[in-house]
Amino acid sequence: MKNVSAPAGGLERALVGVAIAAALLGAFVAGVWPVLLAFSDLLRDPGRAIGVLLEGLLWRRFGLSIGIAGATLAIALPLGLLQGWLLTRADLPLRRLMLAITPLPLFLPPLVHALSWFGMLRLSGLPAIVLVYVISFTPLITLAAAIALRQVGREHSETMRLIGGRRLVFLDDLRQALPAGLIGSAFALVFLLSDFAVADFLTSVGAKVTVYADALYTLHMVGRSGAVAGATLPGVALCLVALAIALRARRRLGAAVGARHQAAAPLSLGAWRAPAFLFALTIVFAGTVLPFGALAWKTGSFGVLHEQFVIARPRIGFTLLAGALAATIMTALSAPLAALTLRLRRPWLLDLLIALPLATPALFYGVGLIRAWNRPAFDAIYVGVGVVLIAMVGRYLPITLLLTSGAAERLDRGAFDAARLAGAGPLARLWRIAIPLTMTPVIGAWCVSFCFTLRELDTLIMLRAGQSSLTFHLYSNIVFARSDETAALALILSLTTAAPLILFLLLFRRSLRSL
Amino acid sequence: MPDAGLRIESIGVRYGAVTALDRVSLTAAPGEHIAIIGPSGSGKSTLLRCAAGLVRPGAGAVRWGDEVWSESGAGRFVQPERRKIGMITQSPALWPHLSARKHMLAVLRWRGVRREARSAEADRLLEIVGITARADHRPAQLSGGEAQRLALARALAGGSRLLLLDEPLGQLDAPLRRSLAATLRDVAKRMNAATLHVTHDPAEALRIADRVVALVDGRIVQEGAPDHFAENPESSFVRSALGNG
Repeated sequence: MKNVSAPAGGLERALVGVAIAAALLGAFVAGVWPVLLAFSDLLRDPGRAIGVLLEGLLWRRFGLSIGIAGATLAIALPLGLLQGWLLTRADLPLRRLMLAITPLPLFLPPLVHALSWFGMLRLSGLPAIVLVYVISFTPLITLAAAIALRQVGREHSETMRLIGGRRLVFLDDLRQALPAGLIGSAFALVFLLSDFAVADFLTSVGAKVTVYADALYTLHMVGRSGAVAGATLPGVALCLVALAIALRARRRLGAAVGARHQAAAPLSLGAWRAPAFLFALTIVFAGTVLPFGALAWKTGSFGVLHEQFVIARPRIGFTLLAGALAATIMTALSAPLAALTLRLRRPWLLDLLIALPLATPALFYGVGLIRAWNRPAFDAIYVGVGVVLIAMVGRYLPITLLLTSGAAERLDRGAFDAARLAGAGPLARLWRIAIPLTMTPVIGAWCVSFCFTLRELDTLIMLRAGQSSLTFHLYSNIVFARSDETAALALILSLTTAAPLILFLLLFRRSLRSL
Repeated sequence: MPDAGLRIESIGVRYGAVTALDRVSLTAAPGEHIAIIGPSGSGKSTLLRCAAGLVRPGAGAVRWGDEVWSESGAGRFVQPERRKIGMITQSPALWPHLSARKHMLAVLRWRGVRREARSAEADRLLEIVGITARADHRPAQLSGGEAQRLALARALAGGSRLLLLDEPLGQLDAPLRRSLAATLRDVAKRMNAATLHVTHDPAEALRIADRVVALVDGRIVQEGAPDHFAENPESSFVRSALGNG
């Protein structure tokens, strides 16, 4: 005796099956296939791959990157958790506004933060690297904590308050936010291990610090492809383990997310309100206002800014267009994939497979893209915007999927059953129920995905077509341009990222809040 | 055996190693109101979901008159949207983006009601359940009782011939529950719809049903008219539920 839950009709099965198959194919072609091609060097040149793994130098550089990541997260995790709590659960003035602009530092390439802080304080060396990463990635933990803390119910919070006062409410909230904060930390680790530009720039004067990603780049430049593949293995293994834990934990957290509740009221901080407000404002200020101010001050005159804008205009257009197209593709692919994950017993395994290009050091993923698309038959894709789109989709689809599948989990399955019983066929359910109910979070996922594409540098640097992007233009200008021109360009890049974010906040505030 | 009406014939459902329904048979004639009682996990909701087509039984058959809705041996299965069934659950599962009137118009359209007749029919149904004044409100703007009334109107729209009620009044306070239970029964009778009504409240079951069915561990342990049911409890569950144990 074998029964089937919620059986679908033939047309519906066919439509959903085609959409899921197309999305899986898209995710494979953009993400998994290039990574597999890059790793095929392990089979072609196993001697070099093993050789590089036996070199102490590689492990020292890997250890250095882990150390930088550890120091960064040791500071960013408590800061992000506290900031997330203050902006979500405390009665701070302007807390909604502060939360709204919190993501901005995350969407800027860390190199922009490095430029602005170096310009301000002449900081360099390891402490400066850690500071820049703390500023870049604290918002990720803040946002993760804020999303988790929005799920705290009023009754639960009031019960805690009656038992142990504000202190217990705070500690209980932190306990609830910690898993989300650790998930944010796992993603921060993955981004951080792929970044080479910050250490490269901040130690260009004085003692050079060569991080893991930089070591991979050097191996690639000297043409030791088997060695690059071998050297990539520890990074991929570490990132996959971190992401596996994070994605599995998120799926577990997601089960509680659907619970209906009345949101808890903000907690009155009493005498702590003023210092807490100053603390929160300082964190927001350090990641948003200060970098803009520093870059504007360094730029010096409007003439320089205008001149750089005219030079960069085609690249701004290219970056915005590619980002918008990539975000649209990612959103379209993530919807059927989210539907698939709802049906799987271990959905985090699919999440992890799609996250493979994110877990792979970005430079190495770029190598895979070259292997996959640098062929005469794919010339049109490789020399144009096509390969840039593929790179962006491959890298950031896991994040779009994370957002859309979270939204899909929160959907009321009963609403679909009710439509079905009311006589709605598959297309009517899609058009009248599924699209209106998911429109808000899907727009939100599109906005976030778009903003992430604007920060992409580590993969695009490997691609000829990626040199048309604004981030690459900035990176190459650090070497060749004057410091005021570089600052102007960094300011233009920051404004290019901030402008759509502010626009989205104004137009789609509800969509972004629904994530 | 009724010519029209629901016939559930020896259906079985398993979830992994757990047997949710074990050779359950039940009939419901048009206009008949059947209450189903049983402890948590006894298979009441699964029985309703099998009748709706939201769960496909692994054994047995579900029919409406001459129509075969589900027959495991023959591999036949009619999709839920083609059965003309209304269902209300504890959470009314309304569509948050549609007003009460738009709920009705959508269902009437899906059920093939002519365009020119839809508006009047929507108003009539909203009037029957007593929420005409709230026709332009969305679910978030309705009270719990109003939301359940809208769910009832939606379940009846377009001539549902079978009404499946899965503890629809569980979250409401006692006076509202009593008044809505009476409304449910009256409206279903007026529409001549067969009703399967799962409830946790034995008193409610005895008060509103034409027939009461007790389900324990996926099996029917007692079935009969309310008077007979109350006077001759045949299992420990029924005895304790009715306060005779």
